[in-house]
Amino acid sequence: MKLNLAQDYVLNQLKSLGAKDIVVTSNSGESFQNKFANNEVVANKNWDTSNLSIFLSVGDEGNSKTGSTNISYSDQTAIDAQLKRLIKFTKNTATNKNFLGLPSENFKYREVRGIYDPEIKSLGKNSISILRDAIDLANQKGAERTGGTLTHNYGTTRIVTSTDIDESYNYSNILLSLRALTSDSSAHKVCVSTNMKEFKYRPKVIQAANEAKLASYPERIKSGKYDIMFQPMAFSNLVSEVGKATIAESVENGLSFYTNKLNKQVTSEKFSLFDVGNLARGLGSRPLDSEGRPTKATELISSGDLKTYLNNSSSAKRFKLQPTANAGILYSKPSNLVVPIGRKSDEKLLAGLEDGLIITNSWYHRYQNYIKGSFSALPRDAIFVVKGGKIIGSAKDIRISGDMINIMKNVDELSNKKERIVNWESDIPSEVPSARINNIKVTSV
Amino acid sequence: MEDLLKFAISVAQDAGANWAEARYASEDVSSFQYDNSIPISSYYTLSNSIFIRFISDNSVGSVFIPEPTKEKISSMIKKQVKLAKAASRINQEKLLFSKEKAYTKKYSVKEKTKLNSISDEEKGKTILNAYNNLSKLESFDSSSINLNTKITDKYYMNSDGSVIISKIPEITMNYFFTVKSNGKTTQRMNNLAGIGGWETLKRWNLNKSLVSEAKNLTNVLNKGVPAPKGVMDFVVGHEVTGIMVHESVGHPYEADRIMGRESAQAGESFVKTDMIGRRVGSDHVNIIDTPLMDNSPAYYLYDEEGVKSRDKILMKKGLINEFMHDRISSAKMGLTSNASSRISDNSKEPLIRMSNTYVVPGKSTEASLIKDVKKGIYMKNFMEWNIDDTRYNFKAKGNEAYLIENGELTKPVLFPNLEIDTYKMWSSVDGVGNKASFGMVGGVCGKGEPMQGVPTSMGGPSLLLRGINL
Repeated sequence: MKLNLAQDYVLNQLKSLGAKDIVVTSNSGESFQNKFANNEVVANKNWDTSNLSIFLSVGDEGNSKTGSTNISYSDQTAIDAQLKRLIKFTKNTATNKNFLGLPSENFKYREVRGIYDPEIKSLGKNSISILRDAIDLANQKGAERTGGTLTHNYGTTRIVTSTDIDESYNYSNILLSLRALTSDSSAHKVCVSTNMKEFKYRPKVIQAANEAKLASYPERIKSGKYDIMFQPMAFSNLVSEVGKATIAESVENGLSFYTNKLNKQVTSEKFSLFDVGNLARGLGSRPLDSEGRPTKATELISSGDLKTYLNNSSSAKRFKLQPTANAGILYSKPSNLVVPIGRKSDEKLLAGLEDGLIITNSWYHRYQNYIKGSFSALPRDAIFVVKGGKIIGSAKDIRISGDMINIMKNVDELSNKKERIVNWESDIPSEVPSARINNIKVTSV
Repeated sequence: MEDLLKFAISVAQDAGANWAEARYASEDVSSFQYDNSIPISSYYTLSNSIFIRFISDNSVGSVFIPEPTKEKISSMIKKQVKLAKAASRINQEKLLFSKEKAYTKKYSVKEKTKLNSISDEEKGKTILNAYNNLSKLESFDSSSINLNTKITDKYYMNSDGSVIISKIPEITMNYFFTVKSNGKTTQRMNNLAGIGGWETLKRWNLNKSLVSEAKNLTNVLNKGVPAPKGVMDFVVGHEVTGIMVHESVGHPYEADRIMGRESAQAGESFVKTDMIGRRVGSDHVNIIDTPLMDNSPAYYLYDEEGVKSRDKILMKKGLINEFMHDRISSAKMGLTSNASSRISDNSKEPLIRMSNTYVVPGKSTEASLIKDVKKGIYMKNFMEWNIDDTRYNFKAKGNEAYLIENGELTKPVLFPNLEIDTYKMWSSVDGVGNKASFGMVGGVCGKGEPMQGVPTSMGGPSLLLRGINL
């Protein structure tokens, strides 16, 4: 049975089997990845990403039982067997008091601009030309070797629900992640786009190679407190942690440092944060969320004050908040995290750094206590030492630590240029500038 | 399915592949998550898929197809072989691949009580019981507990002639809880994992262990003193030994990392290919990685390239002894594979991974290690941890920890830092606990792109570390 027909069949069958709330989501598409290391292509991967996923509830609101599955869709007999199992499985679970029903409004949807480009679908072997160019360019500009991935995806998502929603949209994206390495240093950049026209990877490759060269001969530095300029890739990791802490379910489960912080100051006044589900050309954009609610922009942090938690329809009711259209039916999720830019250029941010560091990338952000936000993380790739607003050298083997509330309250300046980032450490798409943050604890082994 | 696998390999070879492998997997997964007493997620799936990997000219290609048909297999492989050939023109270095013996084997892990015979209600009740016991504590704040079962039926075939059929039932439980006392909070996150039937769960002694951990952490909150500063000795329990081994010995001894294949993702290694025999620890330290540990979460008899499993002695008396290899990295070093190739699920490429990694026990009791310390820290477990991407700069922050004064545990201590470089850490080992102090803990280990979280375990005995700068 074809995917779309199977999807309609599943919805109708589940209705007849007594399910109350039903969401059936299909995806048909492909994903390609060329992975490279040491200037060589080490893997060429292709996935058929087609799947059919189902959420359902049985019973009345407030007394619902919920279940979900991904099912095989090629054979009607197999579908019937799996649906019967799903219904039985769901009836056997305990009551999910957190689930308070799908939204019942009559929604109208607007197309999100620029999230699909047929040129990405037809990229084919041209991906190899891009890869060869990126590797060669990095080496011409001073890298001794490169590693990374060139990934492109395309497909169609269709959502049908028991609330009579039937919407579909196309999507595509392309991502180059490239780490340029010398014998003792490295720098990592990403270029991500939903269309080929804006996929301007060459400046990023040149930047990676230049920074890798500039970071050569890194030295150990003393432990202490430093003012630090975070480049967008490093800052996106902090912003992702902030975004995750605004998820309503994280607050309920002790996984957020924003518990009981609504309408309180949680960051510097210079910092604001939006989640924009319908961001034009946004990697995490879609016209509707997983419950069928139209996506929109939500101001999460306004000049330092926490304004709302990211939610789905059920958690919005539990917290008595306006819905933000961030379902995940069972767990809300960010779509595109957007930080409004500041007024100064990157150069002026650097010029204002009297005695500090530039961090270009980081990883391994881990918490001792999520509620307190106490954590540490390790800068990786180029780390520059700055004196009097100028780079005077590079550093290695350091760790930053602190608590997220204090660190975000110490955001001193944001640059006037932002970048779109998705990286290996955090897969939440973000659009962030550079940030200068003061007084961060740095330790060195 | 045998027919489909043979078909896939022949399509790849006809299209020009020099070598090919195919695996068909049926993955039966159920997963329950309770946030406090509420079943926030109840999920199951039964998926069937095929993964084909091949070498064409000088490049590796792969294809993943859910619900495979011959038509789809044929079209996707042909397209991808062409792409791999185009990619191989970038490559200057000759792709080497070790020659390995071909096997025809069938094996399965026994379930005394079959996972699929356990009702969904009982799985839910298991979590609820753990929650109910925890929530009776006055200091209980919140919990999130999930229980997952997965039964993987796999049929593997390669163009060397290997045919390996396996059935592995897995069970895992992840828990996270917060305790609160005197206006302060602390948290605990842990992973329990094993293979076999429902009987696996009994070994975890859930109801007692979670409550005991919560009580001990409450005691730390109520009575803990600030961590002292200065140079002192540490005794670490098996959970801390485990994370030390996993992060600073297991990962940096993965040959693909050492050779730079994972540079832009999970990183590289401070270890280089010419460092076999180099001292990185004290004479007391012997470290093994093995998939052949009964009931362990990373048990397998043949790896994902059809190579027969064996123990790998990573560190012998403080010297680097062996890396973990697949067929590509081993060929580069003129060796054969030691069967370290694993996947997280059928859609992923095989990568070099740890399995069950541990410090070999010594002869000292844990009590004698503690007795040997005048002033120091006993770190039983940890919460925050991390390490840099060459696996040199390590940190674990104690969760349940105590002061040692004149050879005795005196009072709880608040969250001491073990922040140290890998050489100093393993060189500081001056005592190794015996089997009585030995323990393994589960862990989901991340690597690759897309990210692959594979079940592993890590551990060993208690260790005595001298002269740690706190």
